[in-house]
Amino acid sequence: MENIVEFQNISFRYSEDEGEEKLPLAVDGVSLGIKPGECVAILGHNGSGKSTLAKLSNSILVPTEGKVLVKGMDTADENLSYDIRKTVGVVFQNPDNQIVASIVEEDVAFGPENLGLPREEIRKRVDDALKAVDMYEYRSHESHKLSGGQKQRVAIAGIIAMRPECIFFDEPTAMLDPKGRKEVMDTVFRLNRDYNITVVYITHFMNEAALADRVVVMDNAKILLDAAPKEVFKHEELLKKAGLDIPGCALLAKELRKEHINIPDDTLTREEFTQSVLNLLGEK
Amino acid sequence: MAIIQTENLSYVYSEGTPFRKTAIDNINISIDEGEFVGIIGHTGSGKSTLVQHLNGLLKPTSGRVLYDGKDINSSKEFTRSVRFNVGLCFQYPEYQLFESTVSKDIAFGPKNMGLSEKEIEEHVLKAADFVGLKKDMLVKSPFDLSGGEKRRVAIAGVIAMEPKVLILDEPTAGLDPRGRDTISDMIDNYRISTGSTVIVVSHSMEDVARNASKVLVMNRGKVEFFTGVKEVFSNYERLVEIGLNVPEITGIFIDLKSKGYDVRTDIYSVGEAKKELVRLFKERGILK
Repeated sequence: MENIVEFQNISFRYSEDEGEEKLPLAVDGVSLGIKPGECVAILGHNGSGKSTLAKLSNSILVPTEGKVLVKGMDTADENLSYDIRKTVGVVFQNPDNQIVASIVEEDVAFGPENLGLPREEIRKRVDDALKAVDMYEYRSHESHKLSGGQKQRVAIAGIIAMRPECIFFDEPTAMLDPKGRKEVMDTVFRLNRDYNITVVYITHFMNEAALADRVVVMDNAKILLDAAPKEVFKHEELLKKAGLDIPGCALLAKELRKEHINIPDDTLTREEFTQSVLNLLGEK
Repeated sequence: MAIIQTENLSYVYSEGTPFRKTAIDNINISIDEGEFVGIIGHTGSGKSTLVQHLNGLLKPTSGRVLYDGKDINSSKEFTRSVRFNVGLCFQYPEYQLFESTVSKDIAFGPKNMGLSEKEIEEHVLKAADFVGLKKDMLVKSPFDLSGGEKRRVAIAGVIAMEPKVLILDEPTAGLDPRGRDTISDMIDNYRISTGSTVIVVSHSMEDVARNASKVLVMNRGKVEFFTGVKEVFSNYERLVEIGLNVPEITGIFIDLKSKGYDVRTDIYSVGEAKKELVRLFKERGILK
């Protein structure tokens, strides 16, 4: 199947002021294809190039070298940026920076209004988008009075109302409390599963990455690993060297295997862990 | 000995307007010298409003804040001295760096304290060492550093005042795992080596369980719990109800217990978890 987003051997350097020393490459020779319908997590230490990659996905930035293709459209072609941004949306870390209107439904309508759609179509898209993130009941609320998780879901609805085929989320849960984190991650997975939106999310939480179909690990502007989570998290040493970690449950499973309690080495979540303990206890 | 106390402390935002909102409501807490207090609570529960009272940045709508037994708003001079003794580091403090070099940025606090040039330099070097910034970094522009390094510079700026009480509002938010561990260890080292009191606001149940001796749980502007780590995390259902959680590892044991297995549920680290599971497997005769 054709990739919905394809990074072809791209490099990117943030522009430097004249006379100052050159900044290092933020992305260095990365090739990566995202297939339609995939749910991909991107991990990497601070400054590894993750966020730059997100911004390169819908021509907020264009690569210094190489090409980014969105459904075959070159993001460097300014004439295509409108169509590219209708295809790929980006949600950022801080919900407060993404809310533009004082009432929830007005905020979500901002994108479709700018697409010049008829009124009924805007109404329908706004309602559908708010339902998709489970915020429909709040449609006439004031956006600044919502909790962090609710604001972030409104920001996501604003992107969904544009009907993109793919959404990049740049650390959407970094500023949220545990409940807000769960609300937002549940929304991300629901969009992928029920609305068939291709999802790529950047995170610093290993247990969030464990829930993706595929994990891409960035290290110093390059791709270090690219595989299913169960495979990626077997590389504890490599991940630690890259400033990362494995989920707590995987670490505990590893420690227990040393004691001859054979929790499988692809155990990543609390539910999986508890289940394998129960299995072992029942074996007697 | 209590170093920080609040008495019936309340704060109302936008009093007299239609946007009136009680952010914190009748808070009575007492924090002892040398304690490590973790503050958790859902977004908007009043955590940040509360800590901004503790060094006089916000003035109570009603009630009092005491430092060393004395009302911190009793006189301008006292409020000023409390600002140096109670160091507050905001969320995402790296956005507040402003000087041309790292060392000047760290020196800003000590300078305002009226220390001599020599003392300022000593304070800066000591603080930089605490947060693990190498000497060659001190001459750099803070804007040339990575996110994690900037965060450390900002924290060093507060530590350089050598506060008796160090308050950090979500010091590890947005950092990668190594960055989180480094900052957590650093904060704990500061407390141990200086005997200072440390108060950390966090959304990470893991961090709080690992470091804190006491946990303050805020819910809708009120104190829900203020007690030991074990006592707080034993209220699993209530914590989830108010938008919080227990550490993931603890969750495993809560699940096992609910399935009828006799296990401890006050488990917060991989080490403890391993011990308890080995014990369970031996008891069941599965492990020799």
